[in-house]
Amino acid sequence: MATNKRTYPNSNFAWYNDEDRLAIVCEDTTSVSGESTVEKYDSFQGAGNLSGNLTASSTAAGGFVDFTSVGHTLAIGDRVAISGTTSYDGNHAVTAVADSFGVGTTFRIAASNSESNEGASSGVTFTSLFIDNGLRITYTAKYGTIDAQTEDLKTEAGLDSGLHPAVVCYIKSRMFEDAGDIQRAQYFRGMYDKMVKQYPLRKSGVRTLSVPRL
Amino acid sequence: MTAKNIIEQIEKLFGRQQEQYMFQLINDALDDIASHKRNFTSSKTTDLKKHQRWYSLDDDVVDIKRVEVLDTNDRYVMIPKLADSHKILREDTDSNTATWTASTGSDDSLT
Repeated sequence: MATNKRTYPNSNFAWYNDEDRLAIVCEDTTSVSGESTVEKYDSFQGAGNLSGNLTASSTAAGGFVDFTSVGHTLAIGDRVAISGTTSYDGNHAVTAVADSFGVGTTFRIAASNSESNEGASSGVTFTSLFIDNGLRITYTAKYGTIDAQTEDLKTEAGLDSGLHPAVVCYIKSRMFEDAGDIQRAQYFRGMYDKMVKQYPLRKSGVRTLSVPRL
Repeated sequence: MTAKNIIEQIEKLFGRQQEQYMFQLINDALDDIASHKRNFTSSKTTDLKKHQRWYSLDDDVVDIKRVEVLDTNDRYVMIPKLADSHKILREDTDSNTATWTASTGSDDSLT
């Protein structure tokens, strides 16, 4: 029996979409006055899943502050909440990151840089305002595009090899159409439609996988 | 089959053709097949951001099949689609928010 019961950032997630955007909503668990929504569903408001101690901070020219947190996995544009400092507590966007041999060492935020080193004291931490790779969508996709003669339709575009002859028929149809030979254009268009409609071919009629008893 | 193989077959019938035009026809065929077959699926991940409602979809997305959220055991769990979002969110004033604007300090509001 599993001892660790799975929990979600919020148990009432749902999604919907319009033409070119995907919306993620979840149960509104806060009661902050002045919120812009009055519904039971709202945008995700949970905590992020990345955090760490800040062991040092240093000011940088141009109104930036660098925080040291060895092993951080933040990227430019990520948003973090900093706590435990005198001057920099609150939410910030990461403007730059540095690493040593692939291991994150420091990240930079934009802030007035009056304090010299706020990371030296204990209890100075950051928490991400996002769940790293917390959202995955699976979708029906267009095939990749071909723009070089050496590119393979299977490996570059993702088209099954059984449909490659259909591409040839499609092009022939278009070429004959351009030449004004409508009869031949329709012939190849018909072949193309038939190939696409019938693929994948199942001559055997067996559509299930028989798993042998071990 | 490579693009070169296809172009060779076409040129055998029609003679020498412009390379770019051949690429355009091949890509037209791929788009046409994708719109009919819908058997090419792909997956992508992105960060689930606090206070962000909308996530833009890439141009290659034809139809969303599944949306999953990472749970605390690092497993992706499928979440349902709202069938009547217009009812549930009818009075939601920030539903048209599309972009996140980075800000400093304690401001964490949507713009």
